[in-house]
Amino acid sequence: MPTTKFLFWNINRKPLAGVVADLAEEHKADVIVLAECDIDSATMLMTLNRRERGQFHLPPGKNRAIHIFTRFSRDFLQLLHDDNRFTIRRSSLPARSELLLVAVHLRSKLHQSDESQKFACATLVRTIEEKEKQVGHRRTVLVGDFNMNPFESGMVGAEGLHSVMSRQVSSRGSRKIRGREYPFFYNPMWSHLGDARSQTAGTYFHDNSQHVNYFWNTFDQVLLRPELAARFDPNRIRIVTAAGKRSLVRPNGRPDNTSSSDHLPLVFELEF
Amino acid sequence: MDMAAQPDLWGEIQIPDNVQTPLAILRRQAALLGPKTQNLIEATVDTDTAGGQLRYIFKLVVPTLDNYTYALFTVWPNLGAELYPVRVDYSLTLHTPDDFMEWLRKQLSSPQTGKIITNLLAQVTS
Repeated sequence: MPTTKFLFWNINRKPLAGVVADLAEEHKADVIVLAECDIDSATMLMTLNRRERGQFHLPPGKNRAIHIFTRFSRDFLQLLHDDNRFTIRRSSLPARSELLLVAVHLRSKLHQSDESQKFACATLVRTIEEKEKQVGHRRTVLVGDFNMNPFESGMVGAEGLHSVMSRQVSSRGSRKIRGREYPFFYNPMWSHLGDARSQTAGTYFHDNSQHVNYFWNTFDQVLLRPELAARFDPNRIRIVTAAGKRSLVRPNGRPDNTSSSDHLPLVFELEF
Repeated sequence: MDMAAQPDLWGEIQIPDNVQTPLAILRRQAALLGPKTQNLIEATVDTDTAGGQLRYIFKLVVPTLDNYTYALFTVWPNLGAELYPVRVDYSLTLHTPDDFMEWLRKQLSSPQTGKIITNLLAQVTS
């Protein structure tokens, strides 16, 4: 089955077009999703196409919070829904199964309480379910900066994104709570909490003087419906710490928010 | 009388292979624009019907200007027994694939089209 490579990065309004292009080239990304991107689309497109003309396209969409570029013809990524905080695209590539791509950038904890974040997730999931009903399938992938960790209620709760850490659990498809069916997402980013792989123990580092401080956060995540999770290899998702020879982290493994972004990019592959 | 007893009156129907239809020619040319402009301007061919007649509209699309679209020209294909003639620019009739290609070459490489593309590029890169 053909593989499609995705790159997601919250670039923190930094002029990182060249680094994005380097990452796209290095990882052979087919779809690029950018959050907090202040680079105008024309400049980004020209930078992405600097080496090989006409590689990347800007598919239709008016979302200012999330920018998507793709190697596929723009006709194959149809806009289904645009919101302030998320966009839903229908990918219909020739000889491939259809896919719903949901790219999100939920509001920061600096501007929104945990409770509000939960309600935002409920709104997001309702819209996703509407669109899944409209297109008649649940081959849905969500990617973005959720500004929540995988273990928070908005991510885990049944009325929220209902995303679990195990493919085996999510393979049940859904579960019933008091007569209502709640479909699952699988969240492979649970496996990226902590420093088992490297000093970089998440995608975003934040220090403060609160009693509870996780320091490392995995706000940038990929969620898959069981239909996609079944063929997903969790080893094919990576938190990226360098673009070629350029490090995106400091020697202590934390994102280098001076010369790069305060978030780290994600790359992952899907079979569909 | 059941269906099996019905004679087939259709004769042999050949599925055409590699026929240079006007639509295929237009689509091929449309696909060539994006790579020349780093996909800042792309071309598409939309098909629709107007007054019961099928038409192909050759459009320039500027993705970074909220998908601003400029219709460059319209072609009315011949849907009868022959692929040609095709009608273009409301009044001109082109009788052969060569005539059509030559007309298309003039349209796409005309100073007017060049100016439109240059102006659109200036808008997106300024």
